[in-house]
Amino acid sequence: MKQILHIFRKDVRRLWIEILLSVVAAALFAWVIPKSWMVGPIWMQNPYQEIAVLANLLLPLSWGLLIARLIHGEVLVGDRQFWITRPYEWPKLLAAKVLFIALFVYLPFLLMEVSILWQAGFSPLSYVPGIFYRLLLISLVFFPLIGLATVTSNLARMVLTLLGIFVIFLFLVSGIAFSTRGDSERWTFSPVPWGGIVTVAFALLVCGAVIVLQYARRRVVVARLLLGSTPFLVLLVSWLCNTGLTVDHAYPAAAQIDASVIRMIPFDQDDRGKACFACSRSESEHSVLNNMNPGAKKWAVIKVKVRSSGVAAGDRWQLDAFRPTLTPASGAPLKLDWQQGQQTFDKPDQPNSFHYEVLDVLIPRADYERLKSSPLTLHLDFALTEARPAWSRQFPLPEGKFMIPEFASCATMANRPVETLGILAVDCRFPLRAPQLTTVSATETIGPCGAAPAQTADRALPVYETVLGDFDTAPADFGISPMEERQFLGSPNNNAITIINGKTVNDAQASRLCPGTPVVVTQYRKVRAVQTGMTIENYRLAAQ
Amino acid sequence: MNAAIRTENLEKHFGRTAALDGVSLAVPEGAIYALVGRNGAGKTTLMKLLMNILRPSRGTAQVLNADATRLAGKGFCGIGYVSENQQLPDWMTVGALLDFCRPFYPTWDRALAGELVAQFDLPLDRRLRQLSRGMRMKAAFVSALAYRPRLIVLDEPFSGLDPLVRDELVDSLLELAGESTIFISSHDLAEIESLASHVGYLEEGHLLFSEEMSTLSERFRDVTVTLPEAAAARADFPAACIDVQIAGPVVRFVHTQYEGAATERQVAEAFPSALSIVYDPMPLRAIFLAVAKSQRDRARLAQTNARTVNV
Repeated sequence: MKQILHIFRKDVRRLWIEILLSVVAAALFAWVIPKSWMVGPIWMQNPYQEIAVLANLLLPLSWGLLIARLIHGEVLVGDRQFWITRPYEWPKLLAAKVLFIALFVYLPFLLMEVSILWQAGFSPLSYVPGIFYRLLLISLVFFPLIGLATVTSNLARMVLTLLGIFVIFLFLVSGIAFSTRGDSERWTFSPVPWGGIVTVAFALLVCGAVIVLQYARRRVVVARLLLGSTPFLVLLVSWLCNTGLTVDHAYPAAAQIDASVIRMIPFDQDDRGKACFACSRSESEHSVLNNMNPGAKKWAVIKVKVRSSGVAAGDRWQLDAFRPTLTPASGAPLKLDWQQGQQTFDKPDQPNSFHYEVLDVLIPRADYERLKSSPLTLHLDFALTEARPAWSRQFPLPEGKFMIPEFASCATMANRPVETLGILAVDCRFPLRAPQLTTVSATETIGPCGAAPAQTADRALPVYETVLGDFDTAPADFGISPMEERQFLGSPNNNAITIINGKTVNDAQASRLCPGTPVVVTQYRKVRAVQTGMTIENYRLAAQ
Repeated sequence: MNAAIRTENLEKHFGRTAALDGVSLAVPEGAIYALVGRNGAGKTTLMKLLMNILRPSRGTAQVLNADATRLAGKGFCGIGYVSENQQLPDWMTVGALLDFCRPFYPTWDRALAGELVAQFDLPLDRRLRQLSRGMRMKAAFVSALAYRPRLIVLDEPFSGLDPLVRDELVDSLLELAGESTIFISSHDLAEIESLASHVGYLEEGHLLFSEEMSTLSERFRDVTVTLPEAAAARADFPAACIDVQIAGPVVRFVHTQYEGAATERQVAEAFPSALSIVYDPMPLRAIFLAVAKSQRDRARLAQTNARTVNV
């Protein structure tokens, strides 16, 4: 312990300026971020936002500088260092560095998080696991920085290496984005709830191994190779977490006779699939063919309309992913990989009404060309999550800042004059992470806001509803600021089309959210995850 | 004999280049062992292997009866290592350096440190980066000697220093001689000769000899044979005779296995008509040059023979 403290004291004496800079940056961040949260009319400039941008840059830079200077105090690269022939015991040297980083990097970060949570109106004591989980997540920045410092001999080399990594990363990302355009969402589907945690843990483990290896053995070449391969190893683990095997594990097949499971039904049996090459998956059904898009050469997007049946009142089913299989009359079936879905299904609260959702099914272009002329059997496997309301709150939509206790700190951005134009957007900040699956709904007012606000019971008016969050169970999200921001506009949700009494109602330009309108916030809890399927016989792909 | 350092067939390869090739040596406790050799002979590599800065490709090295590859942490409490290339914590003052080093060593002698600081005239309040090379080396010496290490390993410590600083450093080493084993590499043969009790000669990774200075001085003789008439070139010189030079009636060579009367009798028999044969003791520098030259000539001869065979 004596040696640990001795080395620690030496580092403090040496790096007091860097420590001061880092602490000042953390204090600045904690001070300016809450002030930068916008309140009031959208056109009003918040002067703190520019300082907040600066603080967002300054803080990671000060961490990087402090960590690099600390580790390079006893350089682990090369054979001319004074300390390597002195009675340093590597575990104690490492412990001294860990103590330093804990006190001057992690602790200020922790205090900064607590302060921002407090200023946002949340008691930090209610979020202790999340706060500590964020310390783990922020290690995804610190550990690679420490690892990089252990395999470089000085700050200049470390900065150059970081720049090199950044350039390579940009090159790779743009290369991947270019070559996979049109199916990029296939990469984002994470079917297992623990996939993210496993990937984080693995990344930290590899970086930790590099750090320990360097301190214990100073095997620079091995450590550099290991550190350099970390992103690829992490990608591999991430991929392993997302394979079909893990989907089957995370979403067990529902029993055929289980009446409590949602049934997925083709919306229109006679509807021919409409193909759209290289359409973004969020684009409308009638996307324009863009031959300049490289994805057009690889993928065709088939629009498949589905609706649901058998959803219990209050329940909400989220379609997390789907897996298409196309079987021609003759020939082998084409079984594709899991693709991400984002749709939700619930029991319509109005009689004789139902929702349908459009799935964008990606099919390799070559297979599309091969199969388009023959009738097919289209089978879709669905990975679905059932959710039930955990709690629900109703309150009149206020103007300005307001709190939803233990849930979010929000502010409305009004469109002046609010009396006629209503609320333009609602900006909410959630402590530590985006919320668990939550719906926010309000009945919109048609016409100016001056009249009495719409009431939820008025079924003739369009209902504004937005879905926030997901079923991720991690207690916190990655980030520097502990407040996760989500903004939702006071305009109709265009993702779902509402049909009332057989008439499509999707033109609500004159409708708006008005102050005082009752808002219902409902948070859901995950009940189960199941796999189910749907088959469409005699399915034909559209000819182009 | 207790050896402070012992190596057995120590090898170190950097890619295809053998920096050290089968080096076996023993440095007795209490000795001042001088490792000499040309630039690139492998002296620094050997020292780094002994200090566990590099790992050997083959062979073993023992330092203070411990495997050198396991030398770490407390193992360095009894070792003082100073190298001409060592990177000191330049941001520290001399005083801070000594204060920082002190707690690492249970045997740190404050009085000795104070004496050395005074002897070297070191300014305690100056940062190391502000000091001259000589002063920095003095500071490194104080930090490596103040705990009276059992083994002092010095890699070219006098390189580039002015004679006054060199003398001060040598004096400080001599004060510790006896209680410490000193293993020193140097180009400065004259300085080494006044200091060393043992010497090893390293040439292109091979240890050509390793012995006590007194034995070495006894073993090497500069022999001058004066003949009545110009001597013809002859190839029958024994292997112990190196650096043979013939200038008219005078034949000069270095005898590497001089054993007094027995050797003188053999030489007299080899030159029966000699008018005079003179045996002169050799300084270390002359021995070093003769051996180096002989090695170079042998290497050239081997290359020539190889070419002839190939043709």
